[in-house]
Amino acid sequence: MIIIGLIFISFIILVLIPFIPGAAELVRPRDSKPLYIRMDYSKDPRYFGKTFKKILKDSLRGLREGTRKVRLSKDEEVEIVVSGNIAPNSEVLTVLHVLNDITSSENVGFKKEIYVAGDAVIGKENMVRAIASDGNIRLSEGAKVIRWLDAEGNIEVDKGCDLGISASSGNELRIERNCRFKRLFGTPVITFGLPKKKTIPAGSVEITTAKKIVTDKKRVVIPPATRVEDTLILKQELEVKEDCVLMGSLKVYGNVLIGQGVIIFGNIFSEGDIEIGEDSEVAGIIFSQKHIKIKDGVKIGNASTVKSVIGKKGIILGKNVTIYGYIMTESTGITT
Amino acid sequence: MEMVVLILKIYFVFVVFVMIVYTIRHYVFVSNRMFGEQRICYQDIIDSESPSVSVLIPMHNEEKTASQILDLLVEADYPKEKLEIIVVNDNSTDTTATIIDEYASKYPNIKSVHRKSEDRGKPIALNKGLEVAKGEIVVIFDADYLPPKGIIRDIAVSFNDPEVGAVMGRVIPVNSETNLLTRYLDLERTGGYQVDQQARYNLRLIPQYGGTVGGFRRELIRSLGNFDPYILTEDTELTFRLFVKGWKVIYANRVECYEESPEVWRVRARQLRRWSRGHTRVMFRYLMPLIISKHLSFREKLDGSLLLFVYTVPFILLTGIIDCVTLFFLGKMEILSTMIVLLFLGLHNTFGNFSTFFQIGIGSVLDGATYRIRILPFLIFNFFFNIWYISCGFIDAVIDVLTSRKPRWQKTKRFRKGVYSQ
Repeated sequence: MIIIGLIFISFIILVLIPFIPGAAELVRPRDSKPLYIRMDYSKDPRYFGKTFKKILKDSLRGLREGTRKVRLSKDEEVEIVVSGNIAPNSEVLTVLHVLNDITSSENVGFKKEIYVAGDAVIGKENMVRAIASDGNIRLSEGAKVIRWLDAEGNIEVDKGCDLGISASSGNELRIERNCRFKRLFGTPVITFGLPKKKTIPAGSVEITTAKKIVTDKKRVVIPPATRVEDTLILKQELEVKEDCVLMGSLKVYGNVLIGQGVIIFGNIFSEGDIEIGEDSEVAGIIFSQKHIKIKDGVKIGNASTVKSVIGKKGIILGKNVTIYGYIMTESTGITT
Repeated sequence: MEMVVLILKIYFVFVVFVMIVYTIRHYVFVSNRMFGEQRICYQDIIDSESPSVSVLIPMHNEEKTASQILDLLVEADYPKEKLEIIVVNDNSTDTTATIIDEYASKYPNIKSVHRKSEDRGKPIALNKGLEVAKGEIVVIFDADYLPPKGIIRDIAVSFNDPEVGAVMGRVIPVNSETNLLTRYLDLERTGGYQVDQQARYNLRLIPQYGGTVGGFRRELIRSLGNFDPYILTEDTELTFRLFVKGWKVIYANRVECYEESPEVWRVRARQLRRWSRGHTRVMFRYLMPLIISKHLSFREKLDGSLLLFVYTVPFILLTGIIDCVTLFFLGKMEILSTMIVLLFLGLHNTFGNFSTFFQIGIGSVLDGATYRIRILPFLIFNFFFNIWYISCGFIDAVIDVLTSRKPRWQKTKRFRKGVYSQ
């Protein structure tokens, strides 16, 4: 009888054990609040720079020199200087607010954020945590940004730089070869190289409207110099041969290969890779769940609109590429 | 008697089979969220050429909630010239009409539409709103929702993809800390959105349009004949109508919006019963079109079929439990061998009954909300509650179909006591 009683009590205890932590949570809740939603969130590609500048401006209102503690992600010492000329091989350990321009020499390490009211020239092989400028920013060869950079004016990036999580400009963002990035914003973003003269004058190719598109189970091919009026939704891969004009948008489940000199007025969405051929123009958005490769001389968007190029697994930009708007990848973007 | 026992045994095996199928389904979703490839949605796109948007808010006796949702929508960051907010007063008997008329007179892009007919309900109200809507995209919110500033842009941007017919965002209960029921519902929402919906989007299956915090192409829905006024889950119906016609519904996990959950068990019971009744009607209507559709892959058809049967499963399980108990008291539990019966029972109880629980657990982990997982064992009580009322809804739907009965819309009661703030 005692044994049966003990077994029964043990059974009850074992049944109740899983409920004990829950009961504690119900009696003294530690995690009952609703999941956090930022109610004032508004998509802005220049969010980092604008937010940082607003915090500093609000906290340092009227101060012309000295230091002050400012709450960023934690309390930080902010040093206010009229202008800066940083010696080579040195380290800046505080957050800097520069009232005019700043110039740094080679191998300087900025361990904290910088806000420059004027222009900023960052020297070769510098390491910058984050920098915001009301003027222009120039990054010299091999400079590395850990988090972000933002300028009201132009940004010029020399070769071999790493642009961190985000580089955004209120104006033009010009990047040299061998740079790495995750997010870029500029109107426009321009890669290295001078525009080349087109060998075929515009309008000299005779365009025929598509009556039949070559297709099989795996691949759809649009022949050269074909005009396609409709939006295409395809389960296969798509190859658009040179000099075609596509008036609508594309949704493709496979890879997309756009030939040279193609003009697309709509958007391109793909579950596979997207490659845009030399000297092509896309008026709309380019979005891939995989990689995007944009070859030399491609133009995306135009001066009066902001468009996006988003490639989840990577973006490669060729030379003389012009993109009006936003570029983003979760992996790595490079200029080759 | 032998024949009855045989039927009971066959049904028992069938129940176990159904449980195993749904267990595998849950495992696939959870594994995808834990270890699988995560597709990105379209909210990172920045596009200066925004489509025009009509926000539709059906309201029946919403005096407790009307002002807050309209105040939030007035603050939306969407270009004002491309945004209209249409509030459909669906035969309210409280002060809702006065409130929305005040907003309409104050803000030029808010329109109030009044329905006086007694034949009321959300689908009818939406159809009325669609008559006056001019936007290319229609975004729907229920009156108890609290839309953040950037949500309309986040929904509208997805329609740049030419294949997208509808978009669904994530719903998060704002009153989760009120009582045990709201905490349950918070967990259920977490599992349903953070794991189930996102996994379906990742795997290119059938994410579900949920009727609020979502949008669709206006012309498309008008061309498909607007909403059926006698379907109680117009959202599920729209989901399957779109997929069968070759359009896609996408789920955007980052498009988050607060809702008010039911705070009373009776209200929750009615809500569940309505969902089950409506969903089952949709199952009867769309199962065959789904299977024979030329636009869908095998995977989509399989997932769509399992989704259509989701509100049938609790009924199967409930009858399975009754079947089990009957066999036990008849002394006929030896189905194949004792070990296999034990295995079946183990599977049935461990994974069948509770398979959604690990989905909720993983959802909470992904949300970084770890302490709330501790109340997971208490969901066992909610589980039996759900089974009962979903089964009632299933039976309602069967009777509807057999007798051509037209269901009446039942509004979910609101519990708002003031303005929610963070």
